[in-house]
Amino acid sequence: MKSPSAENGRTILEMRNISKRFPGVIANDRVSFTLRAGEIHCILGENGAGKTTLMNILFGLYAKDGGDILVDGRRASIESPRDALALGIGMIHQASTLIPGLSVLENIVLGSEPSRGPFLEKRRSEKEVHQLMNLFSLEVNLRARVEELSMGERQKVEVLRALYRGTRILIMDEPTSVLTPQEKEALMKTLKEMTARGDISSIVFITHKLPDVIAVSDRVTILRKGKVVDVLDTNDSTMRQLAHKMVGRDVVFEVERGVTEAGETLLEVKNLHVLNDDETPALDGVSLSVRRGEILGIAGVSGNGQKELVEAIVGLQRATAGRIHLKGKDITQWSPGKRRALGIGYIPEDGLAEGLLPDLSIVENLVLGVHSQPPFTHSWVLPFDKGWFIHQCSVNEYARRLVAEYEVDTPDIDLPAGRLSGGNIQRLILARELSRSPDLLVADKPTSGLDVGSQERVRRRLMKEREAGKAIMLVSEDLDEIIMMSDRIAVMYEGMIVGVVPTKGVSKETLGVMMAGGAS
Amino acid sequence: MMWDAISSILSFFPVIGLAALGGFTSQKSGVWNIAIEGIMTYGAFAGVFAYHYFGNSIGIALLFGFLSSLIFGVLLSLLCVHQGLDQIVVGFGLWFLSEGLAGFLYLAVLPSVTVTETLDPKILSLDPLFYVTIASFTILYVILKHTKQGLAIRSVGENPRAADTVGINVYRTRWICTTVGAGLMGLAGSYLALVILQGFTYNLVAGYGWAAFALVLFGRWTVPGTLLSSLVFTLLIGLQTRLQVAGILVVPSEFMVVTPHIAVVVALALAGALGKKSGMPAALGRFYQKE
Amino acid sequence: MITIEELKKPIKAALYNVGLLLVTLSAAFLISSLLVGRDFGEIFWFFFRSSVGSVDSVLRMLMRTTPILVATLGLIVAFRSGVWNIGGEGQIVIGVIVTTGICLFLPLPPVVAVLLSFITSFLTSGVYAAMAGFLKARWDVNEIAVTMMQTFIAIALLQYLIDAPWNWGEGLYPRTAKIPVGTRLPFLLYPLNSTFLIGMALAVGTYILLKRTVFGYELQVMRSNRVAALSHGIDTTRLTVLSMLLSGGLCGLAGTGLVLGEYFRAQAGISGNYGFYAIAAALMANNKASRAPFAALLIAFLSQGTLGLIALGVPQRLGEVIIGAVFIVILVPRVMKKWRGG
Repeated sequence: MKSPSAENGRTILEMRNISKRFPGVIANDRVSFTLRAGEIHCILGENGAGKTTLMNILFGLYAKDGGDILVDGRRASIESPRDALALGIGMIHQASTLIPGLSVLENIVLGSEPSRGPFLEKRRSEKEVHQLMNLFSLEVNLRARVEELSMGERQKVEVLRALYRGTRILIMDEPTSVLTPQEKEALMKTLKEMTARGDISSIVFITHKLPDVIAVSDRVTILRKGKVVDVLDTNDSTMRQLAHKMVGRDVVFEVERGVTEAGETLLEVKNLHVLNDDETPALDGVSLSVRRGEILGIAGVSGNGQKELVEAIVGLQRATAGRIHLKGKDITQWSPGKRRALGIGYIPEDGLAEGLLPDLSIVENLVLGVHSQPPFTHSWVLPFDKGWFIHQCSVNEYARRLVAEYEVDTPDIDLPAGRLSGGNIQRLILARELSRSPDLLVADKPTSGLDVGSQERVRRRLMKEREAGKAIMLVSEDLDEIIMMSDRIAVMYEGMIVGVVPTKGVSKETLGVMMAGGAS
Repeated sequence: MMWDAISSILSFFPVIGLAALGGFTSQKSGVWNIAIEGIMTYGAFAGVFAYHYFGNSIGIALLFGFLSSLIFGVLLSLLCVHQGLDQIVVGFGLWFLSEGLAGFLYLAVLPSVTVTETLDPKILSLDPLFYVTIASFTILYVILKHTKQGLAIRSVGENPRAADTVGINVYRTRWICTTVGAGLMGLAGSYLALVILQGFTYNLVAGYGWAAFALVLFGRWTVPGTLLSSLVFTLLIGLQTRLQVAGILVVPSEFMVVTPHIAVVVALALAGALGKKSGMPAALGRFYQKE
Repeated sequence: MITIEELKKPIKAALYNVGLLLVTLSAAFLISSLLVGRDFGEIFWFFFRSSVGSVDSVLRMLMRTTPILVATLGLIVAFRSGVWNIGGEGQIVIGVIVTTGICLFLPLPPVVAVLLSFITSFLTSGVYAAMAGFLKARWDVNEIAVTMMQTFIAIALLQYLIDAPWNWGEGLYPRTAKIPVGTRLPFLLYPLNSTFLIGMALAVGTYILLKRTVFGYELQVMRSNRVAALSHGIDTTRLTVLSMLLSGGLCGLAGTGLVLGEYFRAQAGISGNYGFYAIAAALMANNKASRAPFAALLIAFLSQGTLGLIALGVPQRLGEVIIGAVFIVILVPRVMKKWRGG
């Protein structure tokens, strides 16, 4: 319960008719937003609804094209984060803005370091941060370098940094996406206590997760396609109602899953070990198997070895011990290309960074991987068996067919792929991978960063592959997605698989405990 | 006698040290400046030019060499830090421009000049700029480790977005580092012309600028590493000169001259083959786009 | 059918670039005229007379274009794959050394000597560059530093050879004897040697290689996204080494051409900074083989023109200044485009 005070309920921040255009998109269309003292206010919306844009404007990262910002009733001109910080506005970004190479203490004080003359006062800042940690019972090792911390600890450092700067208005962009359920609960408790005590006046909490809204907020502003749909008191609203307003139609929370018979074991991983760059174990003896016609979900908090597991299977990371068998063949020492040829498809986590050739055309992106095989090559007049030249016509035809089949929305197949939207990029990569009809599909967070519509399409597509008898390994941090899609779920924690459970009858809580390292 | 030998070798240190330090300062903030060789050549010209026209004072000439070389840092910042052009591409342009400018202006406006002054006072038979160089390394070390500004430089080199969100001015920080870095390169060139060679000749930098570039990489982007690699390189240059003068040729003299360069290649290759972490600033070479 | 509308854009771009070039040249001439006390118009006249003023000067300019073009093609191959091979100058020198050595000292029939020169220069320079490629691909050793150091080493090697073991023994200027007449390539029209045709043929070949083959495609893929390339079965280590092999090899051929078609011997400074000019040319051509001849021609034009200014007391180094300035000026439109929000 909040202690009632004269301050609470007063409007401390107002954004009026904010507009922001990006080339080809209106990210914010005359959006208004008010924040009261003492409240936790959620901004709810799908990916691409303009939530982050709005808050980046408030924090001075984007310049607005129109509208006003009032802080404490006075017009404020916020042109850079420096201005925002001076007004007591702090922001915790979705992608961590901590600097891995610096120490925790350096990260916390960065930008507002206590100093005498030009020199840093390390001891004083250490003392001050210790006091803060005691006050909020947030404990972190200040001397450690940030790259050594877990995601939960990093989130604590972010909060500490905001507190250290005397933030009154704290903006948090999707703060829960990398946390275990337990860490999430602890964070939400801390946030509520902080606003209740008045340590921080108000919190803006950006999310697209409905349970988060219900659990943490007092009020919620819902955005859709850059416009405000509604502002509600959380107590008066239900999840279904919020969902309806967020997407503008009832969401299908289920993907139809046909009944399939799991077939022969296709992928078999035995006691796999992989080392990090600094020689610490990233995978510490992982064993699992995937069969035809099933989806094996890999759950776990990000950074617990999922990425290394995926990369070891597709051949981008070297296994220091253990074996990987595909279709009964030992592929542990094989190159990525050879593994693909045997039947592995790979949808990387960050399609844009890992799968896409941004400055090459859509055609050139689609043909990647089969570009050196017939019918895409010819040997011209040269007497070689292997075609050295690319057959432009058949490549173009192939690309046109895939663009149509996978609904990649583009005016021109010769456009650089980097100009496509996120959803289209993901469809492009799906098209490339699935068109090779791999027997094993390794999908690393294939729906992250996509809007609900695109997510649904990707999931349906994966289901279809499963029904066609393919084996699928699906890595995701979204528990709902994992439960919705998988036949069995393997939970990873600190480079190990803590348990594999059948999806039927498993509860989110059980999985949460496992993700935090508890036994199943 | 022994010290004479050592000090005469060390007297070359400011050339290598300052050039490497210039490259280091720029790179630490996230900006490649590959025009070291050209800016040094320009600095050499500017030094001799100022010596001739501004009253035969080495001190003033060095200062002029430093100050007028800043322009290349400004140009690099304008095009790369602010406008986001490729740092390597622009660096090539600056290299041509600065080296060409030096050679052109030398013939156009400068009569043949021989520097007769020396840089005094000498302490332990080493001139003031030697100590200035050592001091610069020390100061930069302290700045990076113990000051706000140093923390800012390290953070814009590692993660400019993060630095921006805590209110550090990424552009200004990079701008200053790049500009000061270019100035140091120019100063190194001025010193080479004024004190070591007592005049300007074509190609007087003879690859030392490129070597300095490599030394920063070999020093793994740390102050002590850069200092150490510069010192070792200086010793190699001194050693090969002394051996040549003494008539001791291990290999033909044409090769003696490039032994330090060969050493750098071998060292880089070995460091790459044996080392684990390069220590390269994570955002080096990346343009920071404010949205 | 190409409509006038479609032609408008490239014509506009060409006019724009020519305009920029003229502005830059004028500025350079103006400054020069002030510095050396010569009339502006006179400088202009001498510049153009020396570069395009007569059949002879045009032929000389084309001759100068040849090594720049071939080296530019070489660098484009590397730049396209995302590897900064800036050691073209050194690789040219290696080509010069190998060619001179074969033609002077191996008792072979001339035709064989010439063919062997091309092949061996290509391979030797290629392997020289590929070492840097290997270091980069295997251990992430900075290729800019390595290729540059290699250049100094190659130049020192040439200097050593012409000073002592290969020295002609006549004249003050350190150089080798001339290669046998039989190994000299014929002139098309003096002073334009048939090496010019070889250069143009290489340009066509490189264009096809980069644009139409699996290899060319893979180079671009690697530059665009190394991880994606690797995960799709492209062996990036092998490809980096191969691209450097080809890149260095082409630069080596530029050196072969200098010996067989122009100097007929090895001498100091024979590489004429062409390897460095090629960097500028490759970047001006935006790493496109189709534009390489034009970029190389532009550079040859600038350096040939400034050669004519020496008579007026304008230092030849003006050429480098102009190349540097033109280079930066060409970058300006890209900046302007960004300002307009494009």
